[in-house]
Amino acid sequence: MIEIKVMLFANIRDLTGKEELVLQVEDEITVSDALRIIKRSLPVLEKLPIDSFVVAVNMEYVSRNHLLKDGDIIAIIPPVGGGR
Amino acid sequence: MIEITESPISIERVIESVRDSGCGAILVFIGTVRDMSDDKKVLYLQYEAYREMAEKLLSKLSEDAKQRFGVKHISIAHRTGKVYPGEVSVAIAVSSPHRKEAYEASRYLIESLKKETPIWKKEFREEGGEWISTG
Repeated sequence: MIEIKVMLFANIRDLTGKEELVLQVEDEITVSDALRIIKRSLPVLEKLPIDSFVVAVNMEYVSRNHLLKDGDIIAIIPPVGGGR
Repeated sequence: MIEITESPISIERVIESVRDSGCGAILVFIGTVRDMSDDKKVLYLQYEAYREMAEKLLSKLSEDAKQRFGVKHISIAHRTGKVYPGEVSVAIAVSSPHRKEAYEASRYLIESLKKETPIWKKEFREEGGEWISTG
């Protein structure tokens, strides 16, 4: 069993009312798998285009096929910026 | 100095932190909150950050900019929490021996900050709040 901490921000935090989640899974999973599990446990996320959001693992931006290990911290990063 | 802070930003402190007698230029960019957005009155902005990651990325960005443009010191301060119209949301100070590099580095820093740093803003108008991002 491995444990992955998920950090939520901005519109995701507003919508779900949660700042973090803990995923417990049998084996190492990819970022895509993790997003699928997160969406299943928080159906309200359907309202946001999560699949287009970037993801950071242990504070580094990663691709969707990045493999998550026990103790990793994954952050879903909604679009940033604003102003010109 | 790289700082993501809930407290008001001291421009003076940001400037002093890059002062160097070997530098002939200190360039300061100050981002402030506008009181209007799309013809609507803005009450305040609420900034939220993934603080640890934002500080890490901004440190990395500063090192990149020093290498790339040959500037001497860089300080970046960014607010979180409620920031009202007219108040400072971000300050970037760059010192370098000559002004040209400072202008280039400053532009590079603010554009990269807006593109990559996990800091979000929610704009509160009379009719409610909305998360704002670039494009």
